[in-house]
Amino acid sequence: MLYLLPHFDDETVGTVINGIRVREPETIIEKIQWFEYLMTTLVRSLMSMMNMLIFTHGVFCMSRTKILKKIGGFAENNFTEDLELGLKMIYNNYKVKMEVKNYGLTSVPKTFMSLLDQRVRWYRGFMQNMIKYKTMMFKRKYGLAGTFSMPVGVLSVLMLFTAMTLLFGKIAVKAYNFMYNIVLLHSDVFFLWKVPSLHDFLLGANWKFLLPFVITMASVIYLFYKAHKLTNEKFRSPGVFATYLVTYPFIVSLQWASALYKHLTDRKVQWSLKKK
Amino acid sequence: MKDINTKKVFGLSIIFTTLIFVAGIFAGFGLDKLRTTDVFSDLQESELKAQSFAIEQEFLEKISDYDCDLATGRLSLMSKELGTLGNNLISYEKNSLFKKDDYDYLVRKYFLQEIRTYTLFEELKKKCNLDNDLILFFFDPEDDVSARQGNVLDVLVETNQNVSVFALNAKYEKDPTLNTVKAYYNISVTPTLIINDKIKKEGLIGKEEIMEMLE
Repeated sequence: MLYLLPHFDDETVGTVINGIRVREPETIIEKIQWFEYLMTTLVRSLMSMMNMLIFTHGVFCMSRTKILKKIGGFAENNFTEDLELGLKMIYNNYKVKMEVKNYGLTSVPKTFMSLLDQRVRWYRGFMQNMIKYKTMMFKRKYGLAGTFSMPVGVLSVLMLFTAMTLLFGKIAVKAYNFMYNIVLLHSDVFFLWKVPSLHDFLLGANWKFLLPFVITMASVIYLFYKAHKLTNEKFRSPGVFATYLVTYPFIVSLQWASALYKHLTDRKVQWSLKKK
Repeated sequence: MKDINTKKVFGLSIIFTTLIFVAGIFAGFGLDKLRTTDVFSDLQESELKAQSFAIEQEFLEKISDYDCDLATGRLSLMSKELGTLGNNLISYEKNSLFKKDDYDYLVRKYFLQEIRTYTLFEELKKKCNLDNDLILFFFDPEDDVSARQGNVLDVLVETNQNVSVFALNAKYEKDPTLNTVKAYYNISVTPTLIINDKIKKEGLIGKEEIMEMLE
């Protein structure tokens, strides 16, 4: 609280959130989320520093009661009332800040399916609130939250879908050709597989894909280094970290696709805690 | 944590992104230069080998007994090297960002070299009464069926020392020699195989079927 309270010296600050860490991760799904929450803390602290933070969360946050009451409190019938609160604060010209020196511990879903249920709710909440506060988009009145955070948030989802569709398309074509070659050549198919020399690899590789991929991966690893430094956490589980880097875009795409399907077909929300 | 100067952050981000983009363009340009130089030097080497072969044949015919085994070995190796060069050329061209004109020149030069080596091999076959099998493969680089036929032929060459394949782009129309070859064999569909200058097969043909025809 000592760390959070000074932020309220600024009369325009409505809510202050803290960092989040995963409580005693055991399963691989929990460990993947440990890395995810670390990155979330870094990203949100940067957003806070640039006054573009739109998220509040349920793992300890502090709001000015007077402002909270004035803007109507937490929204009922909302998939993610915490995101809604953040957006509502900004809509009413109040700031959301983050304090990383303080952190809350959270218990996260242990299995893939319970994680899916949780994320479907989160992402449906994101869609619901982006639509609810669509008038804030691109409006300078709401600062970088309106001109950057919200549009980039929506754009990143669209880009994720586009990238994953293209990638899955390529994988599907490769898999089809591979199966076709097996049918056509049987065991002779192995003659087509050759380990290229370094010279052939460097000149023959598709650098239009490989170079952005290498730069992205290097940036992600650097950001994780900064996230560890920011939160004073030691690096652990390198195997899980590698798994996280490789599988995360696919997992998130699946979760988004599921959320989109359920949102369009208007399914009821499945709270992950009920499933446990 | 103190607030940061957002204008400075966005400014630095734009500079950093631009630098990466420009570095990517330079890297792509440099890579294309390396690729075209690599193919060009391989093609020059191949041309030199074909010339050396022709001169050697001429010399041996006039001075001493003709060495069929030596000549066959040299031509088999040349056709194999050309096959590898062709695969590299296709892959390089597909991944290239710039220098499309350079690739067009190299592709044309490559097909001419293929026709030249094929002609030399056909002559040698007749002269030495060889049982080597020569296949002309007309393909379309945009066509999946042609790619599959290419895979079948790659395996065939790998598993049979006596088979040499010469791949020609049926959709390439800028070279009169290649057009003449296509007209001579009446190529209208891809893939088409001309086996030992006698059998013409259109569409995708499996390895076993080709082997039967070779026997």
